[in-house]
Amino acid sequence: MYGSGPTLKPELCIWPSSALATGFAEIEISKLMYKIIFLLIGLNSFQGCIKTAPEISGDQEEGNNCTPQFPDKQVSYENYAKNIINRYCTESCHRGGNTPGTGNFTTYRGIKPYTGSTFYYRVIQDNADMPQDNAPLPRNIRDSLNIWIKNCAPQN
Amino acid sequence: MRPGSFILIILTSAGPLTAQDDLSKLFNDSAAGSKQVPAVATFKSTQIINGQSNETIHKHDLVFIVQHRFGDIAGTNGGIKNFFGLDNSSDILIAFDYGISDRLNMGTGRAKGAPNGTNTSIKQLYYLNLKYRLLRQTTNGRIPFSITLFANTAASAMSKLDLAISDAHFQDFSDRLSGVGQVIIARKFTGAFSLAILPTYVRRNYVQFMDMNNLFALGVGGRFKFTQSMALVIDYFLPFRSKESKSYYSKEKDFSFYHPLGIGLEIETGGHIFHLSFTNSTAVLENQFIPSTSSNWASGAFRWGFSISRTFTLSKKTGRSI
Repeated sequence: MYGSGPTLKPELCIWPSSALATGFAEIEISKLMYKIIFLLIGLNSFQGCIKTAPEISGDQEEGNNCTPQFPDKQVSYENYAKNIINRYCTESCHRGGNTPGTGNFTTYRGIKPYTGSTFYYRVIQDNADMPQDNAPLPRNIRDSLNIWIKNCAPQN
Repeated sequence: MRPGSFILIILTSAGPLTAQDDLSKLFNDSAAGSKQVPAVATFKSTQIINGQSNETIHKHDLVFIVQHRFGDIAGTNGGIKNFFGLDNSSDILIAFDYGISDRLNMGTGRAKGAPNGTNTSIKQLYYLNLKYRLLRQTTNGRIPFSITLFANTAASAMSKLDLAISDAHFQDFSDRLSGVGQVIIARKFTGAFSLAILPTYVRRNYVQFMDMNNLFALGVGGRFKFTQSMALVIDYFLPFRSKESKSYYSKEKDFSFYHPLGIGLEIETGGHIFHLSFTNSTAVLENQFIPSTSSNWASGAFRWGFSISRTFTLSKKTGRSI
């Protein structure tokens, strides 16, 4: 693994403006056009600092400090969530490598970083857009997955 | 010798544009000898396939553009079950280009975006671009090639992704921005053959771990006309991604980057240009397809793409300079 902390590291705050090259030489255009061009140049110039995302999320690094919201209910990863994910998510996508879809959901380690609110909004809620180009999963499946997610997505 | 040096030598060492000279002689055009007559239609449109061409649109022309990239034709996610990719759309762009002058164009548009999910999750891109024709090739060889400058700035409008390792886990507005700067050096060798090289710089403000904020690439594009109405067009980009970055994604993510390659057939029918093109890049904008192409021609992960454009002339004047 390549070491990295979860903090964002600004590295360079000077944007070598790409639009600068295009706007400088049009000598026949009106002052209004000059203003438009320099507005665009300005837009580029203030793009801000460059940053790199951390290699691993803070949750992963610091351990899971999540509190289960449905302590009286249990949905198993090994016996339930894993099978649902294999059936609906990883048949041709989300398999890591160059397959379409983010992450590698074929393993617990692979799907764990995605089991926060992203999974809820994209898979569980009524307006979920996953599985892609299909209707949301059946209600009972989404309810069960919701319990697993809200219980901190345990590897049980 | 590096490929870039080789192409540059070819571009600069060749003689004048012979086909254009012959045409001038045919019509006894005395201006061709004394004046610098620009080479026209080096490419037939403002884009080759994925990359920009040296061409600009006319002053006061407004061009409405729709570009589309379908899903994989073959491979794991292609074939008959997706009707060879036609059931899916990997990227869609709707844009307007406007000719401020014959030499300076400005454009804006919106692309769906094509995140590969591994090195980028960015979607919903709005952009502004500028294109300036700095130098134009002349038929007498005094100016041996055309130079056009191109730049854009794109901003993602997607909701912040609640995933710290993602490049869509935006902290500031500037994290949503990316930009491209490009020099398009093109030469029309004969009436049937044109070549362009495109040194390109891609800047992305926020990238995933071990990805590159600043990435240089070299593009090459060509057009070979083989009948009166048909031509083969091709473009290719070689991103100069660091070994460390490639190695990390290969070892830790089991992920490979591929070089965008587009091949197309250009059909001219009654004043309209129709492109039937195929490319391994899923994205339409340079901001994405240069740093993030992850589909491989060899595994069937290439797709049909098309571009439709409609020009509206907003000026009442009919006379145009070339």
